[in-house]
Amino acid sequence: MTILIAVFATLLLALGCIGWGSLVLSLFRAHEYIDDAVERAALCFAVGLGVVGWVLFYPGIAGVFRPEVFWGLSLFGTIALLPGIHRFRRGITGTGKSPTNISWIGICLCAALVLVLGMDLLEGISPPADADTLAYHFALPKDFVDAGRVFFVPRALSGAIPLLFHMTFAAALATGGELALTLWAMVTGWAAGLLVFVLARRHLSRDWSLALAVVFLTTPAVLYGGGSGHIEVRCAVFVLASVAFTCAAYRGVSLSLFALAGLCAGFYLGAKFYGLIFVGSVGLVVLCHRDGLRQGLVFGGAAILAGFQWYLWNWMHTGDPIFPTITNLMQFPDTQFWTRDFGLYFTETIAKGELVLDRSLLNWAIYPVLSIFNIAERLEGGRTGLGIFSLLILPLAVAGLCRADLRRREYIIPLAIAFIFFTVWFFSGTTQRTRHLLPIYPLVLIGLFPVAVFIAGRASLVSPLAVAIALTLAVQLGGQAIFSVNYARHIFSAETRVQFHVRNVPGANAAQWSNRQLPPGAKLGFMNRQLAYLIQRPAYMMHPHIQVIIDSRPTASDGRKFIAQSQKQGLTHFMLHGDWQNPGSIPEQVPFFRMIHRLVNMGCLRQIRRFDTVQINSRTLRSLGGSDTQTTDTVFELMPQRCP
Amino acid sequence: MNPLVVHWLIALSFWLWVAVIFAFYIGSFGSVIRALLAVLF
Repeated sequence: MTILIAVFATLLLALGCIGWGSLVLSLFRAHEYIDDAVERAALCFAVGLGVVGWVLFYPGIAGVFRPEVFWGLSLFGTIALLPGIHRFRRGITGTGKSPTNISWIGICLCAALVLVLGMDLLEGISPPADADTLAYHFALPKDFVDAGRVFFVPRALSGAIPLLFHMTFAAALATGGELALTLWAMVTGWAAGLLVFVLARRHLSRDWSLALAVVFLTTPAVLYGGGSGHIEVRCAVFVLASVAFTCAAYRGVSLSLFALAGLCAGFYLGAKFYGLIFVGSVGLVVLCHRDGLRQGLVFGGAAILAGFQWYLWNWMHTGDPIFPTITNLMQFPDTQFWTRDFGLYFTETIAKGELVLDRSLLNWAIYPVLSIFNIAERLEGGRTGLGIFSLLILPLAVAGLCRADLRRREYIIPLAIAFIFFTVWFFSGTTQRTRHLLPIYPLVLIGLFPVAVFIAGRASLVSPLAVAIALTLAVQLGGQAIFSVNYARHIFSAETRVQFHVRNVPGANAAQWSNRQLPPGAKLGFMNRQLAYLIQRPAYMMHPHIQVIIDSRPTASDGRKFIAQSQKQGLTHFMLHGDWQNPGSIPEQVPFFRMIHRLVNMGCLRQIRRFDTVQINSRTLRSLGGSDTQTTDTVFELMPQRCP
Repeated sequence: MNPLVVHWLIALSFWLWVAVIFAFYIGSFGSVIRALLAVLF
C-alpha cells in the first residue's frame, strides 16, 4: 500500500506540475509557439515545477505546510490539465512530427535509454545515501514537513539558501513518504534529459536527438546528482526552458514569451544562488538585441517575481539576501547568526577548499581541459564532471559555426549564455567544482551538437561522429553500471533500510540508536552533517565551518563558551567523532578536540555509548574494492553541574 | 589540392582527434580502470 501511495503521489505531483505549467502557458499565450506535443509537455512540466515550488513558499511561511495542501495543489494542477488535454495529443495541434519507422540504431538507442532509466530506477526506489542530500536537500524538507512550517535555518551554504526546489521535495515527502521523495528526485532528473531531447528534436532526427539525450542522462555529473537531491540537474530544467522561450520569443517577437523566459530563469534564481549569474547572462544576451531594453525589462521583472522569495526571506532574518556573502563583503556588525571573525574564517576555509585554481585568464581558458581530463582533481571533473562528449564534437561544431548558414540564433543564444555564465562563475570567487556548471552544460550540447551533426553530414564524417557517441556511451554506461551496483545490492537482497544506511552512511548506527534510546526531551548536537536526515529526534547540526551559533571550529578552545552556546540551544546530548576511551586516537593538535577532552575529563560530558563506523571514501568505488577507514562515534550526555 | 585528398585528410584528422581525446580521457580514470580490471580478472 505504501508503494502504491508513493507512486500515485509522484504521478499526481508530476501531472499537477504539467497542469500548472499548462495554465501559465495559456496565461502567456505561449501554447501557439510550441508545435510538438512532447515538447509542450516537457516545457509545461518545467514551468509547473517552478510554479509549484514558488506557490508552496506561502503555505510554508504561513505555517500550513500540511499534506492536504500538497495533495490539493497536485490535484488542482491535474484537474486543470483536463480541459486542455487535446494540446498534448500528437498530431492534433500544430505540426507535430508523426512517428516514422524505427531504424536499428533507434532500437539500440531505445534499448540504451531503457537500460539507463532502469538503472536510475534502482536508485529511485532505494533510500537516499548521498552526503549533501542527507545533510540538507532532503533533511530540510523533512524538517519543514515535520514542523508544519518553513523556518529560517541560520546556516551558510546549506540552510539560508534559495529553497524553491526543496518545496517540491517537501510536497513529495509529505504526500508519498520517502519513496515518493526519491522517485520524485528520479523523475525531475529525467525531465532535464527530456528537455534536451525535445530541444534537439527541433533541428535533428529522432535518432540523433535520442543519442544526445542518452549521452546527457549518463553524464557523470547527472549520474551523481540526478537521482539524489542535488539541485544542479533540476536547475538545468529551468535553464533549458528559459532558453527555449527566449529563442521562441525572438522567432515570434513576443513579449509574453520573454516574460515566460524570465519566469523560468527566476525559478533557477529561487532554487540556487547561481541563478543570479544565469539571470544576468540571459539578461545581457536579451539586452544586446534590438529593442533589448524593453524586452530586458520584461525578462528581468518576471525573473525577480519568480525568484525573489528566498532572498527576501534571508534579508528579513539576516539583513543579507545572499547570506553570508554581503555580510562578509560589507563587514556587517556581529549578529547571533554571524560574526566578522567567523566570516573571515569562513572565507578562508572556502578559498582553501573550493578555489582550486587562481582566477587568471589562462586558468579560465584551460579550465575545461583541466576538468575533463581530471588534471586538477579537486575540480571533481572526473567522476562527477561533464564527461568528454562536448570536447569530442568540438572540431565539427567549430567548423559548422564558421559557416554563416549554420550560425543560427537557436545555437548562438545557448552558447552565448553558457559562455557568459561560465566566465562570471569562474571569476566570481565561488566554488570551482565542475558539477556546478551542470545547469548550463545542456546549453553547450544543444548549441554544438546539431551543428556538429550537420557538418558531419556534409563532410561525410557521420561514422567518426557515431563512433565518438558510441565510445562516450560505452564509458558512461559502464560508469552508471558501477554507480548502480550499490543500489542493486540493496534492491535484490533482503537488506533493510536501516542496514542500507549503516552500510552507506558513516555514523548511521549512532543515529538509529539515538532515535530509539535517547530519553524524552533530549536534544542532540551532532557534527556529521550526513546524519541530519537520519536523526528523527530534536537535534542541532554543530557544523564547524558554516554556522556560528555553536562555535565548533577546529580552533575553538573555550569550553565555557561552548557549553553556554550548547545550553542556549537546549542541547542535552552530543554525538562526536572519535574514540574518547582511547585518547591516543584523538588528534590532540586540534584545539577543539583538546577542549572536548578537557570537558570529558571534567565529567561535563559523560560518555554513554560508542559506535564503530566507517569513513567511506566513495560509495560507488567500494564495489571495486575501494577502501574504507574504520572509525568511531561517541554519544555523550551533558552533565551541566560538572561543567565550567 | 585534390578534393578527395582533402576529404580524407579531414576525416583522418577527426578520427585522430576522437582517438587521442578518448585515450587521454580513459587515461584520466586509471585508478578506476585498474580497480575494475582487478575485480574482473
